[in-house]
Amino acid sequence: MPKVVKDIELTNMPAVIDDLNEYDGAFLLLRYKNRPVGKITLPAKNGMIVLADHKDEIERAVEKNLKYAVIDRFLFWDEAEKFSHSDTSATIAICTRNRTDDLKLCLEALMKLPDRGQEILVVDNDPLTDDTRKLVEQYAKVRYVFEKRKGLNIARNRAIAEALNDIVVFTDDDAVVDKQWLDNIVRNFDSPLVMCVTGMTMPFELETEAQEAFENYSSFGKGFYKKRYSFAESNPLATGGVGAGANMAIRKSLVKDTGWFDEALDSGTPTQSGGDHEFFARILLAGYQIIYDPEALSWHRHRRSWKEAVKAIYGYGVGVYAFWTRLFFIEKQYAILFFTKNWLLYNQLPDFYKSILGIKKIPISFFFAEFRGCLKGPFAYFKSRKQATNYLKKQDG
Amino acid sequence: MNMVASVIIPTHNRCASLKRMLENLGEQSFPQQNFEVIVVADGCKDDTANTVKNYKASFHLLLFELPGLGAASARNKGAAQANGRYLVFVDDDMELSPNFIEEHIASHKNENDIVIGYSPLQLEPKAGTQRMTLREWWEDKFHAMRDQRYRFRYDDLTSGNFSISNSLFKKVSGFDTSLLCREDYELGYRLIKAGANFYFCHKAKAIHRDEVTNLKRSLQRKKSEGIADMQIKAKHPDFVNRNALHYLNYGSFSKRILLRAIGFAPSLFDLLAGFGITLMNYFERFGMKPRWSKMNYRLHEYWYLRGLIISAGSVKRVYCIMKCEEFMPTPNQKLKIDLKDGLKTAEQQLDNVRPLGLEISFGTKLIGIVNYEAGTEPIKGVHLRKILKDRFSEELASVLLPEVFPASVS
Repeated sequence: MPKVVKDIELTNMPAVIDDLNEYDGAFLLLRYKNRPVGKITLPAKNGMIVLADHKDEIERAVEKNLKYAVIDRFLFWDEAEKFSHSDTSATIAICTRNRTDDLKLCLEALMKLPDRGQEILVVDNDPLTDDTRKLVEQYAKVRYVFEKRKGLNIARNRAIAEALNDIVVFTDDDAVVDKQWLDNIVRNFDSPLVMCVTGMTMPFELETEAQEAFENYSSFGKGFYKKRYSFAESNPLATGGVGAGANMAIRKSLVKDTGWFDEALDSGTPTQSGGDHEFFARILLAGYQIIYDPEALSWHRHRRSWKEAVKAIYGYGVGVYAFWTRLFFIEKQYAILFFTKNWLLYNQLPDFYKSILGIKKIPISFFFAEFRGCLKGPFAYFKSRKQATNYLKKQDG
Repeated sequence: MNMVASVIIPTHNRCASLKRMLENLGEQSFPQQNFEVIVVADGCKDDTANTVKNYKASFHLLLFELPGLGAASARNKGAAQANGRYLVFVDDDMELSPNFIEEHIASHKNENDIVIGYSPLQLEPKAGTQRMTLREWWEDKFHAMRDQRYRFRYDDLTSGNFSISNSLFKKVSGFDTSLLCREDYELGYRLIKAGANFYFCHKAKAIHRDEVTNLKRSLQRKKSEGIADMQIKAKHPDFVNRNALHYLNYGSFSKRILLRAIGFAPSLFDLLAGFGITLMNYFERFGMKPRWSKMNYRLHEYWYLRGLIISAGSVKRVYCIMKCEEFMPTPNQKLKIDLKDGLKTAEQQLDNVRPLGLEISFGTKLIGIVNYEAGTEPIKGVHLRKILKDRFSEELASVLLPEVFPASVS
């Protein structure tokens, strides 16, 4: 059953959420003075939710993080205050393919960002029509780049090559960013070792069961705590919690050091995903830091139909094993074998049992899709690599 | 002679690096006639002395030679011969930015100021886990100091890139030459006690081209640090060495047993530690970074403790010396501030008094106590918010939250 998605300010809460006749509940993002502090799903009764009835639940949902928000507010704490303010401008890059409607929403949100001299690039990746080009032409501030080679990582590399600024911020074509998103990303590039910043992603809508199931199983949100992944303290191979490519920023100068995005990975190739997580691993392996900042908020529209959702989960399975394959064979990180074991024993199988027993509401089809994907992953990677090298050979000769 | 700055470079058999340094000094934005460069060649067996003698410098260049007395003696020697109003200490393996001297000198507002410059470690390609860990350690240290709300401590003074007025350096009579390392920390400790103000200047940048620190050297150094820390502690009984206390895990029973065992059969443990290095190589090769890091920590801890024991003579004496701060009378000057009067008022109070300790309350509720810690600068207003956030967030939340919540959910 669908849920309505609402953005709630704790200091200015409505008494009721009504008009819910088409929904059986609401997914609420809770903020304190604009800062995200928690999320909660509440059921609707007679087409409405009286928030006072759920006071305790809401309190519990925010209790850990509200504390820090309140303290920071009391102390007028501002991370950017540490240093004399640097006027670092950024390039925002959106890699898109045949999703002009989604892209329009995305661009509209980007237009609402405060002007910090940012550049906006749309990389149109092997499109079937020229709808995207026509759409982008309506925005004077947006630069259109045509990339005929299909593949998300190919498009990302193109964006990096085209970007005029050192900081390149990626958002997906099916994501809508928050007003402070860009500022909250950029402020984290405060040390030369910070080479990558990721943000928090919330569901844009939960209109279908597929979207809900997807959000429950594979949320892009990585929590409401800010985290610094340092070289000394993190395991560079464990990048699952770092963030996702739908909401990340890197320094352009990084590619000289760690190399480009692997063009054999991610959507548009047989591997289907994993390009972002593999790149995070290389950043950490090179001794750099990644910051996850939940205040860099964006809303992602998950695929609506079951077919698409299952396909996406399958794609994650393929992608994870594909990028692990690269880390094993190319980066020679043999310890990745422990990850395959741990993921299976401590995440996949327990979730699978819980799903069968009905403890967790995750559709079993997700697991089968994921397992199939995992088995496919290594083969997909080599196939994809071969395709990429063949293409380059063709170019040369 | 109206000499403003004296750049002092102690050097030991690194002729090529020194040459690069001299070239950097020739390209400084600071007027050439206003600074001099003093090279102290300490136990050099290479071509250093001749290179300096024959160097056609556009600035005033002096050379002194010592028979290998260590960096502290070399720096003191340079300082003794300096004519400048300010002394700028740099290491020979650094690469100075063109405005290096200018930034250092411009940051000095009065004779009591110490300016610490920014020295990022430059890595070669494929540097390895050890070197990357080291780079991050340095970078994190500078990152913390860059925060204007940072409260400085004795161990922020790094001898490779800092400046001090000639008069203050003479007043505290320079580095302690009996120390073979940690002489900068010890000086930092005395400077803070003497009321010096530390500043960090990010623009005074000198790229640290240290290409020799590898795991073995790092462990050797750790042992020397243990030895030096014990000497420092013997010299300044009120000195709280957090590093040592952390490694000694003060009072822990298992740590005591381990220390006894190390004291009883050091050669056996040295052998084991050597095996640890071999293991680390395997961990690195197979991508087992967390295990590598753990072993790295353990080995550094081991060599540090070994250093402490060597220096103290016995395990018993390690505890005896480290413990003696308990018997030292600590200054009990704690300023009482009430956050209910507003942060601004509290900050003002701190700036007026510059207390060594704090008692923070919110109305009738006690938030926390900041004890006096030898070697940490007196508290300024600007430190307060960071102290509250880093150390007393739980206590502060317990006061603030009840005021927030009922208002929001009603």
